[in-house]
Amino acid sequence: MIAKIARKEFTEYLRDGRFRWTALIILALLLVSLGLGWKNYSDTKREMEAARADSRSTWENQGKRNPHSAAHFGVYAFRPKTPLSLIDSGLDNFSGSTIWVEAHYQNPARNRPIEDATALQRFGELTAAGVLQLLLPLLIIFLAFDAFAGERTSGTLRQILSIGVKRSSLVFGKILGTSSALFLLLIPATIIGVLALALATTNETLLSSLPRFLLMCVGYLLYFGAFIGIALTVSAWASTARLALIVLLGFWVFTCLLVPRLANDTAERFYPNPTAEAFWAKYDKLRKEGVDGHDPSNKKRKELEQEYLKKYKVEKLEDLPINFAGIAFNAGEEFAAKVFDKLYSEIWVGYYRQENLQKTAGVLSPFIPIRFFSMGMAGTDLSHTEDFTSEVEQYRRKFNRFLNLNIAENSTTKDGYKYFGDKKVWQETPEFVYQIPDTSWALSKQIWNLALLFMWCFGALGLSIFEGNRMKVL
Amino acid sequence: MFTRIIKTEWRNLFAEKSFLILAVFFAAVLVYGIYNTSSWIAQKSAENQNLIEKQEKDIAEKKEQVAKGYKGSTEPGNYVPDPSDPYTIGMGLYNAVLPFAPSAVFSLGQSDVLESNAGVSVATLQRTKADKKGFENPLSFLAGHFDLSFVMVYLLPLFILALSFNVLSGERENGILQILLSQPLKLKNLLTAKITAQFSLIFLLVLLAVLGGFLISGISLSAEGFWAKAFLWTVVVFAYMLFWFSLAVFINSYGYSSATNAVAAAAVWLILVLVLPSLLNILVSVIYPVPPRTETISAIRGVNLDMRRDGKKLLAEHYQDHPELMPKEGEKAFEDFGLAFVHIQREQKKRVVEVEERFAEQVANQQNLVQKLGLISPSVIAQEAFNEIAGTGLNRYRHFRLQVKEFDRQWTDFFLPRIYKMDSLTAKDFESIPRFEYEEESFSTIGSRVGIGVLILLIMSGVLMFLSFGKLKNYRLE
Repeated sequence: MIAKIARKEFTEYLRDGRFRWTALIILALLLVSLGLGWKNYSDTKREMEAARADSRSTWENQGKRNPHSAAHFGVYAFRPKTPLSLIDSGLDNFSGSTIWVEAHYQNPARNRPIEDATALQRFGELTAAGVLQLLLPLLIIFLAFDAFAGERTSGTLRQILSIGVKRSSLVFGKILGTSSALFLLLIPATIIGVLALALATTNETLLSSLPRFLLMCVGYLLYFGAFIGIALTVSAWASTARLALIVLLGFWVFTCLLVPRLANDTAERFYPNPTAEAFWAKYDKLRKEGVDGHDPSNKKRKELEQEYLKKYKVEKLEDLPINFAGIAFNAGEEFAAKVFDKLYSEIWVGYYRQENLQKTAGVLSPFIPIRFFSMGMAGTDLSHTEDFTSEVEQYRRKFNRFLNLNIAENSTTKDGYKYFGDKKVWQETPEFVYQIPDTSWALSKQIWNLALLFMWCFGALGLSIFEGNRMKVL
Repeated sequence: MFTRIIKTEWRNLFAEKSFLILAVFFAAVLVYGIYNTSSWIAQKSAENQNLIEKQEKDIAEKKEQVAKGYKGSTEPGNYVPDPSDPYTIGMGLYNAVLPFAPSAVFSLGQSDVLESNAGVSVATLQRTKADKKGFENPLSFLAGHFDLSFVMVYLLPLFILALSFNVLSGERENGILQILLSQPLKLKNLLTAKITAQFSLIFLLVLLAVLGGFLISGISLSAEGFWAKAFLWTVVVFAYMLFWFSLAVFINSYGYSSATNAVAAAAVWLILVLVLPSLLNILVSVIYPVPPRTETISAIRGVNLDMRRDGKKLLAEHYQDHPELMPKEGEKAFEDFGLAFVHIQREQKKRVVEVEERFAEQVANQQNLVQKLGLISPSVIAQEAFNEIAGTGLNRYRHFRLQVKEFDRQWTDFFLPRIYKMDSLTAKDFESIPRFEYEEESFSTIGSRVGIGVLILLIMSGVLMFLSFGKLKNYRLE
């Protein structure tokens, strides 16, 4: 019986011009957005590759220079785009893509694409994820709003139930019918998505992205399931199709437009974004007074001098067999590292507080968990941003340590800054390589969002069965 | 008859519970939007104010030290730069601040993304803390803000459509339409009267709620130029509302059922407010692609000069070209690392500025195109107009950047010759250190940009109304 009802719904949808047109438009938008995502991904990837190679070759061919001067010249670390960003660009437009790696300073990521865009960008970028998160629920609403309400008004509901069809079979049939109409759209979209991925990536990256892609699909199915459940519930509850439609559209506006913005503004109000001025003022203070208030850097330096004089049993720094400047720079870096660790961890705590508050709002809106989950799988969310910046910082420390010890080992204090490194030194300098974290890591950050999606999906479907069982026939 | 229908419509609306709920909800959302915007502006303005005060205090302190003859400290680990050295302030960072316009409350616009302070220095910004910025949570840009323009651009049309999607179909489905038209009354006039009633009510509601929002949020209404902007805003809102009401009339003129009208209204809203702007965005960035930001980096790094390695040669060349800048100590300057560094910084800055200008030009091209292409989308027109009125859009920002560029030149002209001559600043010199003051765009410039959009909105509404009235002749009453 369930299959029969589902087939009837499905056939009806196919005959309905509204469905055909809306589905076609959404499919077209999905195609366009995937195409754009693909172009954006491959362009950015090429530019980043070129810039990385350029940056490295400038470094290796900088000529003779004191390694500390070279450290000030520095190198750049570029954030590679993840393959799945062609589906969900997430925070890519808002987080910096490059970090200047230099002596003394841990710099924030710069060059946010949003800074070079017009106000149109704020209406939202057309991405496949955007279409799936915002428009597909509307399609579901348009499909399902009169599932029960329409049959009730036309009197067919009474007929069906009078021939002994179980109410639960009716609901299951409707769920199945709506889902299969949806799959008619989703299956080609998925195939195109995989093709776009395959075109944009090498076999190896494609293979490593597939688990993330599959998980992403699971997330979206749960999300659509939630909307099917909600639409059927409201249709069963509402007295007329018109009322059902208005309530559902209201729910969509609330979920997809109001809650995300409210959550964002509330999060920012409770946990304000740090300003650059405040950050550097704190930095200056900590440097001067020491991280724990009684260990300033100049005192440290004097202790270090004594330690080395004693170690090499000489009277003056000039008599050391090594260059003390390199040792002092290195100690300075180690001290600064402690300061930066403290300051940046405060920053990230603030970011995650904002994120957690927004994630909590997912209780009110299934749009929130799917957006976070999708970004998380695409590797374009906050935790992936943090992973990149912390990898760059680990690299920066390695980079400075290498150059400072090079000074210490290859010259003496008497040489001062007159020691110059050459091409061999620059070639031996470690290079920054970034690997996107694996799927299980990404998934471990998404437990809450995934749980919410499950709750929304099965809660809503369950509710539709409950409401179907007690709905009025007349 | 006309006024009687209007009065009846008002009475009906006030008797309807769902309308009252919607109206109260919408007014609350408006007030929240204003409160949210104004508190955000207050916070940002306070940050800007702090920055300016700190900057002024710093210059005043240095002036005092110079007057007392303090020369800084070179003790290792406790280095304090010499305040009388023009290098100290000139190569450091001065922040030129763009203040919020008094009308900023009408839209947050791009003000969260575009930095309201621009670094000015003799050196490249890479050397200063102006390039060590960007500590905002990227997540906080994703969802957008709940500001007044969001409520007006996105939610107001929904409110209008929720009210008017069944302006005729509802009456027909209730069977009232036939009764009404049995009176000496034309369908056209009935429709106009009903729409006028709904329009005036919502318009009044918006104005009252906004005024209430202003009072609750404590916005200073007496600020210079505020009311002129507020008037301009009212005109835009009027035209934008007219468009959406005309659309509702147009949808109704087809004579479909209320449910179909509702789906059609929702779909049109979706296309005009969400889909069309993002398609336009694609078009604009395809026509004027912004070059990859990595180019700025390559530009800086392309200047492969080293002060210790190349300093002496660079300075010798420099003083040969500019003998007037040769310091009194002469040859000594060739050995000065600081001067070599300044010289390298100037070279880098030249390159960076060239690249930066290409970026600015491309974004300006995009913005000009948005102003033209955007005219096909009512929501883009409204958003651009609100940003324009609030002074939080790209145009005012560009105006600011142009002034900063000029100011950067003044700053450099003041400090650079003194640095090269190795002069010391006297306490009196401190009084003539240039300061930045933003000069507003004139009201007529803003008015003319907004005016075109308003005109297009009115034309669109007129066309929709005209087409609808044509169709109404064949309207089926059952």
